[in-house]
Amino acid sequence: MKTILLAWRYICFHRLKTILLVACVSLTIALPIAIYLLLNQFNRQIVARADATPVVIGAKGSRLDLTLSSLYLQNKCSETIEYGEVAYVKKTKYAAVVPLHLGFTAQSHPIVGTSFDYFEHRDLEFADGNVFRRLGDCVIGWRVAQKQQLSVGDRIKSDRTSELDITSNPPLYMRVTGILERQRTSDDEAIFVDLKTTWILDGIGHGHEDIVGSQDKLKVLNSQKENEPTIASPAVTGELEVTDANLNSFHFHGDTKEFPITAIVAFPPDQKSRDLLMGRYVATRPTLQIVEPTTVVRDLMALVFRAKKFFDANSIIISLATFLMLVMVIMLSLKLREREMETMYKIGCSRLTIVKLQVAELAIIGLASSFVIIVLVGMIWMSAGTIVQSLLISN
Amino acid sequence: MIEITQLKFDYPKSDFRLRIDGLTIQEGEKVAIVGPSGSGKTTLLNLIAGITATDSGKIKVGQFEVSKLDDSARRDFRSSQIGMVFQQFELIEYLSVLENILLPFLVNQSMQLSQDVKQRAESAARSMGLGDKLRRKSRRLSQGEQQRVAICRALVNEPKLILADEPTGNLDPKNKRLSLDLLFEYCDQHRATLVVVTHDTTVLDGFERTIDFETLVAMKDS
Repeated sequence: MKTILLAWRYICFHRLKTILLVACVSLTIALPIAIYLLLNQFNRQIVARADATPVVIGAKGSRLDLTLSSLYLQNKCSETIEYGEVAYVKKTKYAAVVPLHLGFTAQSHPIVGTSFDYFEHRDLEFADGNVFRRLGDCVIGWRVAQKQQLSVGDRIKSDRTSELDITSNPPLYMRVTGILERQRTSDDEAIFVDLKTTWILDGIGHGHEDIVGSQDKLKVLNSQKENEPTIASPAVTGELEVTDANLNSFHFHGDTKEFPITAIVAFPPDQKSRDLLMGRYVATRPTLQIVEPTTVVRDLMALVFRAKKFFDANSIIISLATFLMLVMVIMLSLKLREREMETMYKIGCSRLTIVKLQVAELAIIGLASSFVIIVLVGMIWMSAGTIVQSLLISN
Repeated sequence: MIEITQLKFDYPKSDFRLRIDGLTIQEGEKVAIVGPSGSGKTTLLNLIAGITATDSGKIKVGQFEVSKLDDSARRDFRSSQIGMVFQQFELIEYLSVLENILLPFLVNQSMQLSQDVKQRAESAARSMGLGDKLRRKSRRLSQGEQQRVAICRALVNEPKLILADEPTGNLDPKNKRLSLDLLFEYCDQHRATLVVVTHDTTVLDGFERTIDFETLVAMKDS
């Protein structure tokens, strides 16, 4: 006890040195463990999401971009495919399909144009409200509701695609009809709308303000006489919000089959259907690609884990360097304390007790470091899911 | 109290040699050993205290024949029988005044740190004007106060022999006198023996005997 008291006094007196040593040791050990935990969690989450997304069809290009777009709902694909492809897959009867149209945001949250089937296939439950009922309605993820303080009946405005381009489509106010329960996936961060709503954002569809009979000179260029057409001013903009009153004025130009979508998520009922669907696409659709996210993600993670080996080697070298530095600090400390040790010896302290004193000091530093490591690793372990989730899905 | 006969000591790999044919110091005697620096005065104190082992000859302190004790026994002898005062005070900077005084009990596993010992240490500190500084770290004390702490530390185990190595070397005249008076007072009260090594001839008047180290030793340069 007397030895521990003396060691404790020394440690307390040299607080800064002790804190630096403890920080040095703790970080050297805790960092690789934290990276290991986070990487494992990352692997678990991304594989789980990939496993829940059996097959994805999209434009020819990067398999990884297509996979990540469909998993994390953030558009990374430069090319779109035609909506008619959905009907093609349905016709094969190899899989149930869910179209995805990405690329727009509202308050930086991704807007996902899709169908009701998305909620069914992802097993998404509603915390409040229900699915979108008409054009301009949206269902928001749990995080969107939290972050933007939204509840059912509120509105959220889409972001302009370009702040500098005045010819870009105006933002659209969307009505919140439902809030999803927390999923701890990218669905929490997303705003789900009907495909047609995203086509309005695309500028393919729009509504018109009724100016017939209007006396507003800013909106009507000619004096409205009987049997003469009304000439609208350029100041008349497209509708910014779909309401029950103007719903019927919204319409689309062109053939719906040719409208763009980002990807199709296909849910084949069995392996055979999956193989047949993939075979069909490889054989007959040269401009498209069909990918299995699980395979893509496993390839990606294999690459990440290969890269981790470099980090591991680096950690070993840093640990060794830290250990050597600690040895040097201890040796310098012993050198500086030679007279103190000599005094202790002269007044009756054994050499063994002096060694015990040094060991006790190191043990206290070791214990403090262990405590810090346990706390740090514990915190990382407990929040690894949230950290990885925010890394994967935050905007 | 101290009997030295035919003492021989050489430092390994050095041309220093110490030879003392005979020296006797009586119990309760206050002796000053004077001599130039480097003549071997500190070595003699280390030999008497058992810090350094003799090559040959006999050193007897009270009932202990120091020259025949092994390292462990010499350490116990030192802890229980001797109080040591050093020129540089040698206080431990990370300990408080009280803990510095109690240091012999803190570093020696065979000495029990009882409540009595603590009270004795506090009482000694108060008697030397350190009562209000017991919790203070030693480096926040003046030179005179530090030496008084060092003296308290030397006296806390109530030794029968006090060995002081240049105890006034770093002190102003007032504190020199005060420090020596404290040592003399203790020796008078406890009939303890005091051996002080010094090259400061201005402090010799309180001693009963002064030994000129150069006439005592048979020191030869090789």
